[in-house]
Amino acid sequence: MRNKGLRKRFTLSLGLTVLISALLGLMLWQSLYLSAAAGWIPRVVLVFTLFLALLQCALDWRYGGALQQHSPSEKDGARRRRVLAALAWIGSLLACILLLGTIAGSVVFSFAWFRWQARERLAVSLLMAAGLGLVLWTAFAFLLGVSLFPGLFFEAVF
Amino acid sequence: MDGSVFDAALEGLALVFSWPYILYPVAGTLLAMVFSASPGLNSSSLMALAIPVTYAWDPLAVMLLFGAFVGGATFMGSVTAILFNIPGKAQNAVTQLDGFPLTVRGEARTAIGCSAASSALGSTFGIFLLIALIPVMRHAAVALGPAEYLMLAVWGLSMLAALTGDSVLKGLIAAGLGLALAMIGHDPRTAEPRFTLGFHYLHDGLSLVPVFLGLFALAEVIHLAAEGRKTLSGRAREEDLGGSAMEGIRSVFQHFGLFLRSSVIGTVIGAIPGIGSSVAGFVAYGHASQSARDRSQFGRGDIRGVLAPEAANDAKDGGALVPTLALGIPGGTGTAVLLGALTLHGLAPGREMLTDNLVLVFVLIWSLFLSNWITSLLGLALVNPMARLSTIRTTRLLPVILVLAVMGAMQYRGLVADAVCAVLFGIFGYAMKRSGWPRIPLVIALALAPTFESNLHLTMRLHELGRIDFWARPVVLALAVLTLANLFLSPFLRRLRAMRQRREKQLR
Repeated sequence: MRNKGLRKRFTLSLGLTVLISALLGLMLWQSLYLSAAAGWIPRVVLVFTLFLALLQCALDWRYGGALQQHSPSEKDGARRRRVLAALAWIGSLLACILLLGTIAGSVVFSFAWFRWQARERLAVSLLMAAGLGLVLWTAFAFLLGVSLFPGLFFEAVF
Repeated sequence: MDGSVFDAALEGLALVFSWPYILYPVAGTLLAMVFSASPGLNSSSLMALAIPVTYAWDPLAVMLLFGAFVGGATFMGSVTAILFNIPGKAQNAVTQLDGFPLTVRGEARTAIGCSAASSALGSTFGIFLLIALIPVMRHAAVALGPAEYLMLAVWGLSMLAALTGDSVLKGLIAAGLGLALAMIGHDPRTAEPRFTLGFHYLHDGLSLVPVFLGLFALAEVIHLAAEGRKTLSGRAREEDLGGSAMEGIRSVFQHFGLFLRSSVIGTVIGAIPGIGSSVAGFVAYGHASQSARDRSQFGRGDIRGVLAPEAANDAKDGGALVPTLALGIPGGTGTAVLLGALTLHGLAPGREMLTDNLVLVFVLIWSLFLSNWITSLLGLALVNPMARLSTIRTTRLLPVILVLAVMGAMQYRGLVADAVCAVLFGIFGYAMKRSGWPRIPLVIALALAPTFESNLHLTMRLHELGRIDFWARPVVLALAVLTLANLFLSPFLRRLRAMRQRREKQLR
């Protein structure tokens, strides 16, 4: 019963306020090690903002649950799964770029997305991923001469 | 305007439209449009790339090309901001606040039309003001010191009161967080590293572009994926889209007072060296939101939220040439590179530039003017194909947006860490969006904080040494009055208006 009440009070807004408060607290603690000349403006800003953030924490704790219009439903569960999937895709894009470089990484990532997330046919996925890679290469590398990140794999091989 | 200035203006105009010189601004504008549509790349990078290519050219061709680079880059960044929530440059970030919600509502055509019209008219306003000010601008630009810059930043920060959304407390915390995050890096006075936590990456501070791309573009990608929306506009066919380019153009004339005020804000802020180009749009947006009778739609797709920053952003280009040409002090990064290119061609800014090379100055100005109109007219011609992008299935669009946003974040400084930074801010931005936290105060505070902090230090030092009397400076006093009006007069008038409306309702 008590757990249910706690769960109801713990909203995303409260979680975010706690995160912001923790970040501000960490920065305030760090600012104590700065010299007076470098630290006074950050300290003024951080003390003021941390005070407001803690006030918001109290408000979220007191009223956050009451403001939540509905109890967690199947829809929320599905959304949570989709958010996690989106984050995983973003993480995989970063990993692809880090390993294979900007162009090759983007092509591999977009092919995987088109094939498995968008459920496009193999030929369509290949075509769209290659098209994206070609546009990026033409615009950035060929026409504009921008030096693109080569990726750890290609850096090691060549 | 004296006769020599008028003659130089006419001679410059004739040169811009003469064959084959007309090709330079046209080609420059098209190049700038392509370049600025790629997130993270901007006119400064294009100009930097063009410097070695144009080294052997004659100064006239260089002026024509570089003027077009400055003018042609702004609009396309706004188009990507409106359509995909990806700002081409930091200054376009403010356009997406209301531009993207309009796309989501199926009114991308109206937003692009309004953006094109206010850009073209705003730049025209800025350029004509620049021409009118040429005889006096040398004296005006040197009259500004750290105290004025400080008050300008304070004025910009006071705009936050209007942008806090439903919760003032959350808005203030977001602004405080923005100020705190901007202090990461070296202290401007002592060069002491602050809040770097031992990470080498943080020594240079947080770059605005990855933060903007994360907070808005990546957060939107997560949001769209989470909502399972079929298309950006919620409509699958072009015929189902609402709004039109004409409606967007009409909105500029319906809110002509706001357009004029935003253009003045843009020109004035652009003329102040070192303030940064992203500030003009934010201040204009804040003004639009504060002066509106009904501001409930701001951030949800109010056309005035597109009009004001677009007019200011383009009017700023004219203003930014004032300190660059008159004093050799660039107004922003773009004008800094332009200054470098001019110096390489033996064109020293200052009195000589405004007397002996006045025709070349006008060539630059008219080229800027022409490129602004070319981009806007092309934008209007391409409204329908561009709006059609909002009917493409999100499963096909999201990987493209994702790749462009991550590339944009990385290309700005060439660091993979910037992409990681953008992703972290993307998750943070999504959490803010989901739980009703305003993101605008955070980015405005982040953009204004460096100006605020460095000038606060300078002003205090000068005051201690008895070199300035803070309250005896007319510009400081004028800005203080504007700040107070922002903080107290606008809410008071709004409350008065609400009371009057309530009373009228009761009487009925």
